[in-house]
Amino acid sequence: MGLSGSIRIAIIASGAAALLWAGGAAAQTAYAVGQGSPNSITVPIQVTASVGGACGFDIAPDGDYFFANLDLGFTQDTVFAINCNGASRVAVTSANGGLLAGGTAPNGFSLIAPYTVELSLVGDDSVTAAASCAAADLALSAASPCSFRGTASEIVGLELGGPADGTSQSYVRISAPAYSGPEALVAASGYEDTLTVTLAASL
Amino acid sequence: MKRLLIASAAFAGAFALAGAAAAQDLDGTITIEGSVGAKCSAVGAFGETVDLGELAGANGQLASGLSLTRTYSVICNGANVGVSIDATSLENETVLTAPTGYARVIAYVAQVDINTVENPGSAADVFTLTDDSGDAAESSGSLGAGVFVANSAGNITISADTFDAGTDLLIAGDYSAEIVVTLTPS
Repeated sequence: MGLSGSIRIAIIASGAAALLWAGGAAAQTAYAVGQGSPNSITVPIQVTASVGGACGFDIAPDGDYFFANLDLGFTQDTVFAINCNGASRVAVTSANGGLLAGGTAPNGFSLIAPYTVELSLVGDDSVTAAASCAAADLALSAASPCSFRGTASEIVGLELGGPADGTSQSYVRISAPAYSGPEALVAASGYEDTLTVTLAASL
Repeated sequence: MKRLLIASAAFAGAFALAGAAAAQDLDGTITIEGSVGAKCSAVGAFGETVDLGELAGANGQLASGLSLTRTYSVICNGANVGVSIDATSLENETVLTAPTGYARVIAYVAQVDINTVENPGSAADVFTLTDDSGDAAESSGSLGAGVFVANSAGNITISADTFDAGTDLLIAGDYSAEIVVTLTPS
């Protein structure tokens, strides 16, 4: 003789606090076919994920240059390669806002030689970006900071709007024509400046 | 018998995965150094031919009041520029020997005045050199440590006066002389 009838047991979803059920924590019971309904329960598992921006220089923009008679003009490229899995930004700061020599200049003379910094960024699939700034506008103290002045971040710097696999050559170009400013550049041997070029993943 | 299927919770519910950024160089440094050599350059013409016209007065002797002044502009970007002035007397170009009572050579004094500046805020000054055309040697000097040729228009003036031929009569003909001013950057 066996028992008959039915026993219905309600299983209430519970457990560790880390357990999250989409659609609420309602009890769900599934029955074997022919024993009741439903015959299955679905447990939705929400999975979210992301891939963080991974960025770096495969070839960093490093350089050390000397220009004799810089008042006659100069130009120099520093090549670098971006390796980012998404959009990125490059920013530049100038320590002196130009090539600066020590000492004191009399009226009508100057100890700072201006020059221009041009950024040319190249990524995958012919995605490019370019901009140029006067070194004076790349100094942290610049009254009118230029578009890519600062330390690169998700929102600071010239944006390259797509990924780059590190094989395309970007460059920083520094240049100046023959000096023709109203103040004469003082004869000196110690004109100098330092550019810091930084990279970050963009939003 | 009913069989229950119980959904097991062998997982931690909704979860998120975030990719970690790989460690790579994120900055570069470009160091730039340079020099500016000392130099002087003329703005426009520096030098010319000056026609003094008739040198003799009505009595055939040297006319009085002869003089010349010319102003030029130069840019020198270094301090302590060297300066020299060398003047030759006015001489008759065709008559090489003057008889007694006549003169073929006229001496004078040439002068160069250079506007100068020193430290910011200091008063402008003038550097002066003179040279007697009758003296074969040139006159030379330098502006001085920390002293610059002022960066302004008309910063060099060359003049000549004190023309002298004694009381002799001037021999007729063309006369010529030369005043050479040299700036040497240091």
